[in-house]
Amino acid sequence: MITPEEVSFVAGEAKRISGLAIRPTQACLVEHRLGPLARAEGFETISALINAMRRGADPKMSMQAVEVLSSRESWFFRDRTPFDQFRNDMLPVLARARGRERKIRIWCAGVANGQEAYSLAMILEEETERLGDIDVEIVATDFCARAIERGKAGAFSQFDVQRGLSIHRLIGHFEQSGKDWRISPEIRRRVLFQQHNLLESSAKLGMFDVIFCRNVVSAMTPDARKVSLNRLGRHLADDGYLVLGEGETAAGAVDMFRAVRGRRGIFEKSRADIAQAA
Amino acid sequence: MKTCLVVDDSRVIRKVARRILEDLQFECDEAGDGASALEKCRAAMPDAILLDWNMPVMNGLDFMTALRREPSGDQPVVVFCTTENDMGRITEALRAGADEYIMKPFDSEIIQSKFEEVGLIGEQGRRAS
Repeated sequence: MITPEEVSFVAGEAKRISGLAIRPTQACLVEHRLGPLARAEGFETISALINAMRRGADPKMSMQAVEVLSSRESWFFRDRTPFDQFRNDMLPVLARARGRERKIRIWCAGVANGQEAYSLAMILEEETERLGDIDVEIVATDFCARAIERGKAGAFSQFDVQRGLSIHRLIGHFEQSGKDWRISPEIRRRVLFQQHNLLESSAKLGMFDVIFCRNVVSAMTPDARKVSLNRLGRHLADDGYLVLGEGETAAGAVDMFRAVRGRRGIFEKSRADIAQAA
Repeated sequence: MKTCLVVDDSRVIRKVARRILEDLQFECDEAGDGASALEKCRAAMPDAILLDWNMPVMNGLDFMTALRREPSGDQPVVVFCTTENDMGRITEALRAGADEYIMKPFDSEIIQSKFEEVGLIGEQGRRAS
């Protein structure tokens, strides 16, 4: 059993590295997640792993710990509605609005293993005819290097590909690869994976028309949430859309965004913010 | 309440599937092979059929082919549920008239997800269009 002081140290590291909030009551979660990492790294106990993090001899150790603490389960087309709205509402509006530029940019922030980005890419592939020559770019980021590697590889278990995916999408957009299913090259090349931490500078990412950042900010400390939402806002076009998780709010950056009426989890830039920027 | 016929030669699988489907508010009936499933369908067409492939007497694919030729045999939504997980086999089943396809092993989330895909259950009223 790890001590409250150890939980508090780990929480501090999580807060520093990714903004993840770990409460004192989450000792069980910390043990459950760090146990396998401790074993894999050859430590006798979780406390020994935490001591190594404390000594800072290997800075990667804290990073790895926070990666496993942050890892989230996701699945294709999770919650469905935001994807239906992306296809039926956002894409047509943006295609008209970007008639001159012929370019739409989408950012999936905190993409985990890539299911969300690939779900959007499948929609784009299915909408090829309607989009015509409009170029749609998806940039998928996560602070976790291993998540980015897994996303790039695009290989999913039989279990993963049966949650949220119809059989038609599975046979249309995947290839069988041993026991796994690998996303097809046509879908894979639509997504650009890049390691990026929402707490760090993002100047190189550019501007986006749609930002998906679902079930990320609600797991953060209030400070990190504020920093992250403000960063997302700075990268969102004035007529763009921010898509948060169901039940998540833009609390912490309320001046920047306003909820789209009747659309849970979807936000636009507030008029005040647009006026201020102009 | 919608009806679902669970067709599998394993009594254990039928029991597991039945419990999941009853939780999803389906009224269930069972058959141990394709021939007895066909008899049950002739008596009363179910709304959905969860269908194993490899079974004695009449396999799932032969059953479905026969079913689709029956009067009103195009009505049930057929969801294959089998250990066959080869892309070629999946395509064969879809071409023969299957609506969805589950690769075993399955759990309640997979059944729910697949039944949502074919509109047998709503997504808690979430679907926007």
